[in-house]
Amino acid sequence: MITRRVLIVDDEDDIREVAQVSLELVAGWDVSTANSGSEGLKMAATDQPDAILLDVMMPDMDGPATFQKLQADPAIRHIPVILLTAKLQPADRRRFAELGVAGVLAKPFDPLKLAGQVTEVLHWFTESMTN
Amino acid sequence: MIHQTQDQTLAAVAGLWTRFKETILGRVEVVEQAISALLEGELPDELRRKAERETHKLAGSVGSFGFKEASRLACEIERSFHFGSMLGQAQASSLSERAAALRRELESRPFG
Repeated sequence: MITRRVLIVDDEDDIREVAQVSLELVAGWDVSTANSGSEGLKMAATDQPDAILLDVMMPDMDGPATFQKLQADPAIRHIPVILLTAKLQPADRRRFAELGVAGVLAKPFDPLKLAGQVTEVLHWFTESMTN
Repeated sequence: MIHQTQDQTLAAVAGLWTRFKETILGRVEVVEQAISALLEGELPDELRRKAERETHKLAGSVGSFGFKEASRLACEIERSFHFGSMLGQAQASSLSERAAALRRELESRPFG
């Protein structure tokens, strides 16, 4: 089993912690967290996680703005990003897809299923089966 | 093994609920204040926007603690606050009922 390293960026303490315990306990991944887009960018650069779960609505720098900054940095632009959002209308899906994110997951998420959803979006399941 | 992991995860999430319940019910209080103002005939735009933000947070979080119905109710209330210019007395009583149901849900047991 591959131990993945995932960074969660969300300004809401409760959601950040539920996502963290969910990924750690269900999947056994190594999870770090940041409470803002700017902190997330710094941690992405130093930790080089395998993936980033990024909240869309955050004060100061929102998810799409954080993603664009991440894409502008050659040192971290390769890290796949999954957006987490409670507002998931068809128009939002299109807008996020155009940004170039790896995927979008809806909030609220089921803590027992979140790791499976991330695995599916990033095709990690197929990879671990073949490794 | 899978059941053990599930039980551990649900226990950890229940522990987080205990820690965050007060904060989350504080968000409901903001919603209730906004609805009271609406019932009294004047909902300041600043309070409406604050209530919209708080219901957005509720909609996106409480379902992860096992309160799916509360999440759905918060989502409905958020939509009403979003279209604030159309809010009037007629919507106020219905919103009040939804907010009361939201609080009841959140004061019940999670993952019930």
